[in-house]
Amino acid sequence: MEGQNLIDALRPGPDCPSIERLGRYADGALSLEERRREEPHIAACPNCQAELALLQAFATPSVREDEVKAVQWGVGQLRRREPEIFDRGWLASSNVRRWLSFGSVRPALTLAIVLLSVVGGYYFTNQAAPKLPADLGSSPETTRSLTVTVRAPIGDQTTVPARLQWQAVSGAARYRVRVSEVDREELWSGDTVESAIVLPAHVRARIVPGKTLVWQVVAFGASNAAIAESNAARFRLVQ
Amino acid sequence: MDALSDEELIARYRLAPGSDRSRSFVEELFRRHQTRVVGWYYRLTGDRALAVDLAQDVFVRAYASLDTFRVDSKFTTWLYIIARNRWRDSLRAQRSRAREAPEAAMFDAEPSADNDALAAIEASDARVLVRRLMDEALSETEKRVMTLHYGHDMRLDAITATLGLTNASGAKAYIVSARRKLNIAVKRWKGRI
Repeated sequence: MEGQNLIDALRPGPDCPSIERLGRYADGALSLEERRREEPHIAACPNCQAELALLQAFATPSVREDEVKAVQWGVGQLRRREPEIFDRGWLASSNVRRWLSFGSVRPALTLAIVLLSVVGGYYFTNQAAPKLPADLGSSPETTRSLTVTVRAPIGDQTTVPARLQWQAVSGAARYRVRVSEVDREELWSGDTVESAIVLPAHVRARIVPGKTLVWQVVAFGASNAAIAESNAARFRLVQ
Repeated sequence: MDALSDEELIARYRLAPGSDRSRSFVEELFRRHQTRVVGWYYRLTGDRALAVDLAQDVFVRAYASLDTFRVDSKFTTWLYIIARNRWRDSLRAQRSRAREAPEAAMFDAEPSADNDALAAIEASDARVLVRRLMDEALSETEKRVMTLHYGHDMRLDAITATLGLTNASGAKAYIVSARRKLNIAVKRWKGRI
């Protein structure tokens, strides 16, 4: 093949550091000893020097006049694709991959899909109105769900809330309530046997206009095991 | 959020990776680098649609592996490595497609290598010898242009822009000059053996 000797000679060789290592070299993140070991090769190697030139061009970008329109168009397209980027990125993340590759999960997923198909099929073919229990509305206000339903405060508030309220869970012996900042840093937590809890003064003092806070409830049974929890509810004080 | 560095945005994101708030840190981080990635790919490929597709893949990979980012590195360098690897994959795919096409198409409108003295060198010796002859005969810019073009499959106008070459013919002039010098150096070397 014409010029193949030249091409082969200019491609990365076995003694060239990986791109990752070259990047750490450029960042000054290698130890002194590692740097001393790599430096003579990198300084003399046309491939490594070319790699560094590419990295340099990436790190200090300059869009030329004849590139501006195309790049602006490209960035606009990329913005529109952001939801897809996050969805695909999440699906490709190592945590999700690990979860999906966990041996016992695959059969469970398959079973779930089969059950959904059966149940979905049943409802498609039996569309009569559902029968309501005769005593609806007269039963005590409790749920048997694994979820604690939060009541208030949720969303924008015009006054500083005095207490947090949720729907009682059947079998719950106590509830633990946790209030945190949006970055999940805990502000306060407390326990109660009621389906509401009063916010202490020092927590109320942290509720200032525009600042979102998150709260969550976990219900514990008589054996002290968690039996249900709420979603993270958010609220903020508006002026 | 503007006041936070890239690395600080990642640190905030890591506090609660699943929350809406943490996603806003990553959105900010990615938006800072969209022009960089799209611009880099557009320069390399000359194709704006392909540049967007490649850039999208880069940000998908970046989001998927954000937990592997090491705080002693710069985020820009980390992102570059993802972009560089994605480009290399793309080149491999192009090469395998090109193998199915007539070979001449790969070097269309490039300086001819017919009767190239380099072609006569035994392949086993070529790497060491070519590098030695390059060191002896070529300037640093000529070496870099040759390496980017032949070793990294970069288009000549992309090299001109990437290296900021300001001469009239850009990278092409350096390629022509470098090949002429290398051919002379090879012939001289052959005369010695």
